Amino acid sequence: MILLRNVRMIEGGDVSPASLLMDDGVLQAILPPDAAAENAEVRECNGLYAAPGLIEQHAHGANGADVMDCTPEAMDTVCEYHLQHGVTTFYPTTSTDSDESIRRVIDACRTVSAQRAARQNVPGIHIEGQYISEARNGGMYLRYIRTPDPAEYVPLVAYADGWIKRWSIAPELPGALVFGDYCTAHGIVCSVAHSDATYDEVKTAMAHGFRHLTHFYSDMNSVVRINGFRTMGAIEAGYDFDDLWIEVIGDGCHIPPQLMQYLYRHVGPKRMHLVSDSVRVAGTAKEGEYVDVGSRDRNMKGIVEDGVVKFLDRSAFHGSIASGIELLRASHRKAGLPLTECVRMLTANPAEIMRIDDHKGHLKEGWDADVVLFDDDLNLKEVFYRGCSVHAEHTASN
Amino acid sequence: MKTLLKNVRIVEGGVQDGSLLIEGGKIRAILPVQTESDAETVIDGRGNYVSAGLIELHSHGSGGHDYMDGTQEAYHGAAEMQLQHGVTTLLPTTVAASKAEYLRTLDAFRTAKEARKDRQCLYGMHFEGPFFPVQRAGGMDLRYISAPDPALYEELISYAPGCIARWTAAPELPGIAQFGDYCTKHGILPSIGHTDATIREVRAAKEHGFRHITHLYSDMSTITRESGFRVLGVLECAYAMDDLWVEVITDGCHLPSDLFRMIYKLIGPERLQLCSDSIRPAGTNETENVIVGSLESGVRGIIEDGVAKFPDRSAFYGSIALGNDLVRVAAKKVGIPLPEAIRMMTENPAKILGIDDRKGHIRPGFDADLMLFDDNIDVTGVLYAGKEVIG
Repeated sequence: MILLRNVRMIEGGDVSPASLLMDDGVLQAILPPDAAAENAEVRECNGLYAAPGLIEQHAHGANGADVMDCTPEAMDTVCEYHLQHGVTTFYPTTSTDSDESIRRVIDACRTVSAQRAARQNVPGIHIEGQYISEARNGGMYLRYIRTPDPAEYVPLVAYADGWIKRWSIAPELPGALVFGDYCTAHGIVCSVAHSDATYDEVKTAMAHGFRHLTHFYSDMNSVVRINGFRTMGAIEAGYDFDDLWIEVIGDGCHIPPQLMQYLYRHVGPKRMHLVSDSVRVAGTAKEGEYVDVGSRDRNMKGIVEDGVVKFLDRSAFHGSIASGIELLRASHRKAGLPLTECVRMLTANPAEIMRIDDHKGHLKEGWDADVVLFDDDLNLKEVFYRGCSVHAEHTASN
Repeated sequence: MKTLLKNVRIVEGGVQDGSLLIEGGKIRAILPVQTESDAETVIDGRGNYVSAGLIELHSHGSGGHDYMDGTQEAYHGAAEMQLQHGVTTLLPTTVAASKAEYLRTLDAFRTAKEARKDRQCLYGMHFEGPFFPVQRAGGMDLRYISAPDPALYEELISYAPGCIARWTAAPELPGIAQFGDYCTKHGILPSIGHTDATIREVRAAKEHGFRHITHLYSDMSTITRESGFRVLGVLECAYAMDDLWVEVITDGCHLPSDLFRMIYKLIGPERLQLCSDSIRPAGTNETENVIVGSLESGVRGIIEDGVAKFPDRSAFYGSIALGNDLVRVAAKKVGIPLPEAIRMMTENPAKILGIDDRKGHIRPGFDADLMLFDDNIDVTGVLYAGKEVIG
């Protein structure tokens, strides 16, 4: 039993002074800031912020490893890196690849999830790809881009046996709507990604389970003209449909502060959530360095510049080098969004999207005691997973 | 002389049944439906709607005429067609042209303004161009497209003092600050249009009087990437900046209904202004060809699907809708409440021009410029300064 005494608790859009009593993996009680608890180990927090553990559902790599290395070791490295930035629930994310590689990632996830059971929640994977638009590949491996074929995905979903939690595809592809129905029936969250879909196609896809737009603004259409007439794209769908979730890469680069403020105003914190879309070199990248991106066998390079991994021609980005608390910092300090709402977009909202909000994503009595502590400058101090300290600041610099 | 306009549904903020007492060209009082009056003239509105007369800030022509034709026939013909569609205050609009054509149309404007002063308010001209980047000229004659040229705009403004009310230019061009300041000093509203500006240039332009965006989505920048980073364009500024007015072409073609509804949802009726951007064939039976600009030197387009297109059909030259047609599109097709649709073509343009102390409302003391219309939003009558000009 641990008592986190005197924290500023961020929950439900408010910041309130409190103490958090954690036992048996669960937040047992929210007490006054000066509370005492018998038999509890007391941690004096001196007014640190306490937020729910962060939930990351779109990250490919970190610290030299990539999910598409397809090994438990690599996946574990990625998971641990994000944990050390406050991510207590993590969905390893694939890139477009072969069926065989995806199966190996699923295998790795089963292993890693069990290995990390005491440190971090790894409920399953997010598949980004295969079934995407070639024109909107965004640096994905063209060789493996294909259309949804039940002969492939039905056995894969069966093989995964619940370990696929989210799937990002282009809903305008032939067979995508059937795919959407199938995934939805199997509890997989379907997202619109790497897509040339029009507004109307997104609307149709929403009737087939697609309720989410992957990395808003990246690899999707805005208004295009057909025979002179304007046709709306997925971006307009994102602004217009109140029952569509909007995923935002919160590294401060993909969506610069002005655009972030714009999104916040017109979409709002109720429908947005933040992700890193981090790549292999998160945590190791040096400014100006040429780096490998994607799978090892692909021999594709990017360049680290201005704090993000760019295409060599600088026309676009491969992904971010940010993680967890850094997303909070970029969104709150750089873009100026309210702290409570930034937290919400990294906790309650992703929990709701992934349907784990009955036990994750909130600081409420009875919810899992996943807690991050950080100071006024948004420096991470300590991470608790199910009531146990799994990372503290003094070990971060190892 | 008093006039009683009785038995009307008054569209002002909401809709209420009533009658209007008019005296000395002004609205004197808003009265109940059943009203006894000593008015010399009584007009029975027969339960039709009445709104403030429409204010059109962007129209190149109609009725087979273009204001660039530069003749009285063209001005009267086009303006009268607008009047029949409920437009009581009008900004005849240019395209890029030679200085000689500009001077000719200014002359024609001045004469027509005086000649029509008891019938319609030709408030001032709207110069659309020629200070645009060539890639955003929107089909205008490239020979005349340039950066702001003080020799040209100073001459035009001093040639016809008070005759230019609005000027659309691209804020990224060199000399724009001086141009904006000069316009503002001379009571001319500078508008942002035909532009590749980024948010940086929009912000700078706002320091020099630009408070208005010309035809949203047409010929304007959206997000671009600089060294990979996204930079907001004029389109995003329209959504993001509360101190900018936003003009929307409401012909039902330039913007699809879902997009218009989204614009209305995100920007709201407080900042939107409806315009036609109408061109020569508006209000006529012409269904095939169009000359945009003057008869002698205009460019050619085609009419198809109810809109004027470039010959290659890649974009539009302008609309063939007018006045009440725009209200109909907004209210019936897009589903915007009628009072808000009216507001965006009365109160809002009046505010943009700074004449909202006398035009744009049905209120005691305001000019009795009125549009009467039925449930289908067809015009059944127009009053200008209290006088029935279309009946």
